[in-house]
Amino acid sequence: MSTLWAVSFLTPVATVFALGLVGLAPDPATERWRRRLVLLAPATVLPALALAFAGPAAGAVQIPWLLLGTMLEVDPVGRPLLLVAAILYGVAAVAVATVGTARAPALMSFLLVSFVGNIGLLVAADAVTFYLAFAVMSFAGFGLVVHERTDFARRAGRIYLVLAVISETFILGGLILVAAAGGRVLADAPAAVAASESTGLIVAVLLVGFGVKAGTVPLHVWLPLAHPAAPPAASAVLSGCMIKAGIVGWIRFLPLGEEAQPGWGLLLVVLALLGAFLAVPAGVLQGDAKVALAYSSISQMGFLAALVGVALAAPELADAAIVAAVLYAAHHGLAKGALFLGIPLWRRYGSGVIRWWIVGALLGAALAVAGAPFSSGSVAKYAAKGAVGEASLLGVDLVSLLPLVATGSTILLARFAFLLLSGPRQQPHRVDAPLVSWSVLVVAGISLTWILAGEWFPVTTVPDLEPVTLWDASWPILLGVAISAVAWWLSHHERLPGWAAHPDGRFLPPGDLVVPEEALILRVRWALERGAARGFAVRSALIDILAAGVRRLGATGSVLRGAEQQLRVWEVSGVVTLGLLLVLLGAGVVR
Amino acid sequence: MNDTLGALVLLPLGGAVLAALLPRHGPWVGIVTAAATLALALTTAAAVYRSGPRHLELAGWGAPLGIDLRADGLSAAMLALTAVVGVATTVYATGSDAASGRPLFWPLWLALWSGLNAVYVSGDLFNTYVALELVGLSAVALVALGGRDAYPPALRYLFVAVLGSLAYLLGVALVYAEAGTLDIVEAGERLDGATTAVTALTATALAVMALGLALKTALFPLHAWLPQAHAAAPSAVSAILSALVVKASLFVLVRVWFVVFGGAATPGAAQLLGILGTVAVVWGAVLALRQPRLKPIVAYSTVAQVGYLFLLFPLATPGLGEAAGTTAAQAAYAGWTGALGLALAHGLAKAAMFMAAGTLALAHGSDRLTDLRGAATRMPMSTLTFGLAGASLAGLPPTFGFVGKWQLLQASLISGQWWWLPVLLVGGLLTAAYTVRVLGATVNPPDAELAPLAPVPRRMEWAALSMAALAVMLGVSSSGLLGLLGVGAPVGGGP
Amino acid sequence: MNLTDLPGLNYVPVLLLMTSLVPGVLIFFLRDEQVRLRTVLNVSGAVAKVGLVVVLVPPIVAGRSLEWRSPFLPGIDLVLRVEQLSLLFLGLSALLWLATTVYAIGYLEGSPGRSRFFGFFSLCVTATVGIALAGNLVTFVIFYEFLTLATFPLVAHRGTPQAIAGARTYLVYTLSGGIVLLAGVAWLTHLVGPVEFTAGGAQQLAHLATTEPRLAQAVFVLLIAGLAVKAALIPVHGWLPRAMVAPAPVSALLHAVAVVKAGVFGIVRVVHHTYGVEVADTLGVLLPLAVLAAATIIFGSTLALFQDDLKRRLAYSTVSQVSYVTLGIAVVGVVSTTGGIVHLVHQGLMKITLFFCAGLFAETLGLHKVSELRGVGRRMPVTAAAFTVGALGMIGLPPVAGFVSKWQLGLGGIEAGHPWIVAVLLTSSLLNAAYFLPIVYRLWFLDPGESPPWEGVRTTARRLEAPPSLLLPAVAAALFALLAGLLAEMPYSPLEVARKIAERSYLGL
Repeated sequence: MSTLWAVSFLTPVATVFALGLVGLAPDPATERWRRRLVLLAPATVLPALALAFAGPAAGAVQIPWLLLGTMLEVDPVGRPLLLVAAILYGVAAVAVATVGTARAPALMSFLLVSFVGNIGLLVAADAVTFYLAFAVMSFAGFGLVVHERTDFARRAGRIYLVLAVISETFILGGLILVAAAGGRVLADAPAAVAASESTGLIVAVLLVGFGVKAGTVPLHVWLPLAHPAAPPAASAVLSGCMIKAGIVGWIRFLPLGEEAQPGWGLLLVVLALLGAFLAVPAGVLQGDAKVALAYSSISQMGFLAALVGVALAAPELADAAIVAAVLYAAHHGLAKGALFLGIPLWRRYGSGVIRWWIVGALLGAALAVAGAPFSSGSVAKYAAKGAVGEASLLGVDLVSLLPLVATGSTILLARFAFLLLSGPRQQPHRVDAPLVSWSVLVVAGISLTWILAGEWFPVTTVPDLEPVTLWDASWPILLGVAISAVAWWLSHHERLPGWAAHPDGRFLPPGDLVVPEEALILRVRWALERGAARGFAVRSALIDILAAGVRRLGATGSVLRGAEQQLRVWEVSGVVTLGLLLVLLGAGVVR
Repeated sequence: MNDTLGALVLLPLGGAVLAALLPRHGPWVGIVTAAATLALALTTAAAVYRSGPRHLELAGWGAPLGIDLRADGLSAAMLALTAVVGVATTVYATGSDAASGRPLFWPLWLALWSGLNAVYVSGDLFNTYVALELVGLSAVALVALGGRDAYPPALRYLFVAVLGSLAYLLGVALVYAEAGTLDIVEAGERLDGATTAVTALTATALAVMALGLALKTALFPLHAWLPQAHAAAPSAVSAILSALVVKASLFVLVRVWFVVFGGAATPGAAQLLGILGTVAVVWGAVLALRQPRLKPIVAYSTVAQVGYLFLLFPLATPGLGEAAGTTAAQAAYAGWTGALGLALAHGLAKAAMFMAAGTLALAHGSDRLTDLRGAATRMPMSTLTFGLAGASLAGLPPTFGFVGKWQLLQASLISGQWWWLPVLLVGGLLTAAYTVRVLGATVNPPDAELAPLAPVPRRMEWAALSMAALAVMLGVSSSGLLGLLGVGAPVGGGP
Repeated sequence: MNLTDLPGLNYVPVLLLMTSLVPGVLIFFLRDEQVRLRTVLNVSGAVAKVGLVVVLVPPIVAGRSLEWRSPFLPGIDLVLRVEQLSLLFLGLSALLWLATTVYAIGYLEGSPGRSRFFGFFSLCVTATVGIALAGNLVTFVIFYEFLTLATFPLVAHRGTPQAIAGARTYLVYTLSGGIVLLAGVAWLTHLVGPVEFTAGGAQQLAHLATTEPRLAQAVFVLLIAGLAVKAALIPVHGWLPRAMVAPAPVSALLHAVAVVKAGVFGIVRVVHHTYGVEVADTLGVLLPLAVLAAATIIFGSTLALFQDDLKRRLAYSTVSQVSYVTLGIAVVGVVSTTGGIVHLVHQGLMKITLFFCAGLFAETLGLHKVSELRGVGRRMPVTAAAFTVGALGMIGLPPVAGFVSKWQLGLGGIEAGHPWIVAVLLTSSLLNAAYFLPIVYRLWFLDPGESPPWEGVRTTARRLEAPPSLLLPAVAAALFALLAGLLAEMPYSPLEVARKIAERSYLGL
């Protein structure tokens, strides 16, 4: 089984190396090799897929000599997400390899590196390995975001990078604290954190660190910028897998189920719900389908974060909440990935027969995201509902708030559908690999994966997968559809102000808070620079003073030289000699 | 075996006569004499190191009538230093007429050498005077070899040498009046017996002798003659003067101070000498930093370095005699080995520095710093020599200069005279500063046009480098040399 | 504890010195044109040293030691000893000397004064080896000053007015530092006699600390103040950015192995092997040292932000990074000490990579400024990749070695009850990222544009992007930096050796 482990990680890494080496000498012969490698690359996700299926059978691996001692294991939390990651990255890689992507080898390399990081952090069983994998994924993600090299992509990349670095820094700090508390091994981490003297500090640091990745308000600003900037395949993995890493990080390291942290839990829930709801108006006001999807992701991540918050605040709910969060993350990953990958497909097949299949599949995925009955989303939502059963927020039952997230999602997805349908399309196209793999993703993913995930899970705390009440799952969506319809009618008849009727992302630019945040950063930088300039000024003033001192010393030198001239005069030297004699006599006589 | 002491004086003297008779064969006579003297000196040093101080009564008469020759560890070390530097300068001087002066160089130099050896082995005060006069007069004549420009400095040097000797002679007369003997050891014993009531006569004797010898050693503020004389002389002569001649009068002062007046020297006088030395360290270094020409820089460096040597007096004087406590004796021993070790190190390094300065000046036709551009690439050996010698003078480890400085540091700490610490530490920085100033001037700016160099025989550069290398390498194996300095030392506290 | 299998084994330390001293001295007497002979001398010396070190690794790590001594000053021996800490530093310098020698041979091809350069270069390494091997304070001081002298001509090598000025600044700083150190050593020797480096601290000092704590503190301050100059602690770091005028291999050596490292290595020796960390802790001198180091870390990183000249930026980065070592050893605890000591090696590997790459950019394309590096990754992908490894390591990202140091230091800080150290480390990480990532970004993600600055620069290399003698050392160094992190828990890894050293210094074995 250790072969499977090795193959899972080494094949993608080796492929990236091979791509890099071949790229060193770009001439026609090597160009052919590169193309072949890119075509082969999607297959490198297969061992990881096998790993997910093997699950606990793959066994735990310990590599004591690697880094600070590496431990790997497929555990119930990681396993469903590992499956999702393998599928989603595989489909994305097929899309990159087969559609004429610009600089496909580079994009493929970043995709594979990011994949390695992503699966690494899911199977890591110790803090250092987790951090390594997380960092690899984060920084590879930068390559995905800036791939298009447009000004827009560069700005998105810059903001992504700044936030990623901040996130890495906080995570490193948090993990050092966790490890110092005795939580080097992930299995011990929550208990160790709970037992630590500085639990509050650790929780705070980790909330910030992973919050960036999980898109928690106010750290979410990179998401609406990065998603539209990245190529669709990259957006799919970004939204489908990478942002889930934040949730995984919380589950791994927060003292969930060990110790109640009501304050932090409440804070997280509030921020999460703020994100979940505010993302809706923010997303609706966008003019780009991918931005709308990004805001949908923020909204959904808010939902997930709320689950973590509940687990943090109420240890007795933690197990159920974790199960719900993982299920929800898996389901959302696949569905959102399907939506993102569907965008270019729609544009390419949008005027042929195949478009009906695409529309249908997209609708299915959208309904799943919204949590329509019989979809993976409904199961996940049900689990969540069960988990937060008794929790309340400032007197309002969470159970009554959560369905409204589905309403928000529906509105956002309606906006997405509108933008997609009104967008450009190309001539009909033949059936090709991206379409096939996407179809596999939609079918196998949405219908099958959640069942597997459910089976792999310790289902004791989850209600059985019996059909839920139709109405419970339906009314939020119907409400959302109704609101959307009204809004469409109003804007169609110009009953709304222009910015709301035909939003194009100018009223509320993508990344919302990023604008003031950028300004703040600029101001800080300006202050720093001014401080430095002042420091340099002080330093040069000091140097001037020193130099003046040295000059004065130099003047002493000329005084000495004058004295020396005098000493050379015969008479002077005679007097000096006699004087010295007298002094010597005095010193010799007087005791 | 004891005969080597006499031979050490007579051999160079014979060489001098021979060189005077055979003016055209001066170099050969010089080299053979130098080699033989070196062998003798090293044998003597080894013998002293192995079996203690030597004593020879020439013609078997003994004191007070005859000529007594003595050699303790210090004498042996000075003899060895003179011989080693002597051989190097001899080889160096054969390289070029401009570096030596004229054929007259050879008899004068060998006579000077004989005089130096005589100073070191002489057992009585009057013979020491005679030897000092021989040294002084031949040194003056050697300076005059520098040509017309060297006459005024030579004249001044003559006055100084004679005045110093006369002052010394006056002191000798006073000692004789007080102690009734001229033998150094005996006089010391007799004066020591009279310590209880040190007469004004003794004090006067010490004062005039100290003054005369300080004048010849160029202690601040009596140093004004030295930079002129040393800079004006041919470079081989400068090396001899700075490295050796200055040490002879210092040697006599040490003898007189510690052996003859052992009990009479007051702490006040000792501190005074130390303070003058301190001023000299700063004074010489600052002026060296302001000289536009290479040889005056080196000459002022000698003024500064001589200052260090005078720290011996405040550090070692309290440890004299039986009454001194163990701590004072320890400090005195450390100061003794430190200062005199520094004297040896200075001898080697300064010889190297002057010789390097000489080759640089010869090759470039000038010793102005601004004319030395490119020397670092075109005459790397001379530049390296200068740098190594500077490092030793600055007391940077692992050079021999460091060893001396370390001992002085320990002596200051042990004796509680912490006020010498900054002198020792900062003085090194100043030395490094003027060394670097010279080295910086030798660097070749990337695109400068350089005038062609005059050819310089390789052996001159080798002679210089060997002295610098010795100054560095002795540092790593200094224990024997320090041990030698301690043999028969008038201060206790040795291991 | 000595190896007693063979009688001559105790001469091995001397042999280690000779492998660079002898070639160095011989090289001085070669003409510039004798390239082959010089190269053979250089490389064979370097290889011999690496070979010796490799042979020594297993027994020394197992806890044995080799010692050679000879009387030097009255009562004080010249002691050369190979034990674990010296082996660590020795290994670093031997390995990087080999790399830098190869690099320098390529770098200086055809330029004047090569024999002088390589002569001093070898002497510089000799001094570093001496510092590593020094078994007592006086021996340490000797090689410490020797290093100053040997590096001065290297800094001044180019002979331009800036080079001379930079070298002069360097000398003023280091000689002054040396004097303060010497004063401290002389005073300490006077107080307690000659001090041998002992794991866990010398007995005499423990005694002094109880009888005369004030004096012990004062001497500590003097010693550290003297060492701080080379270790580039604020406020005496000023020489380092100005010494940047030196040729790239010299900068690489200065920053990674020789001068800066000598300073921090000295601090390790003073804190751990002279005073002993527990004694120093009771004297209350460690916390101020840690605070000073922390301030230097932040200060250096902040100033690095504002440098456009690549080498100056790297120089300020060194100011910051080297103080990690000081910080680690000024904090009481095995983990922290391990972190500090291992960073001695890790920083060396990463920084030398960065300087090699900076030199490559300058030599191959004539680029000296960060702002000129747009799109260089396309023209010089291997160099840019090596640079990226070094930069990411400096930020502290796994699996490069820098992460391992940072992790240890952070854990150690918490273990010792100083959680603020984590904050310092993280702030530094952020700042490191802020000045390194833009470079990496420029290298890889910006387009060189229509007329890149290197247009028209001719290169001697045909197949590779740069001459192999420059490229290979850079790649090798980057690889080592990567492996030191990736294989941190392998037997004989720097981390393992550092941990052993740290443990011994607390057990007082």
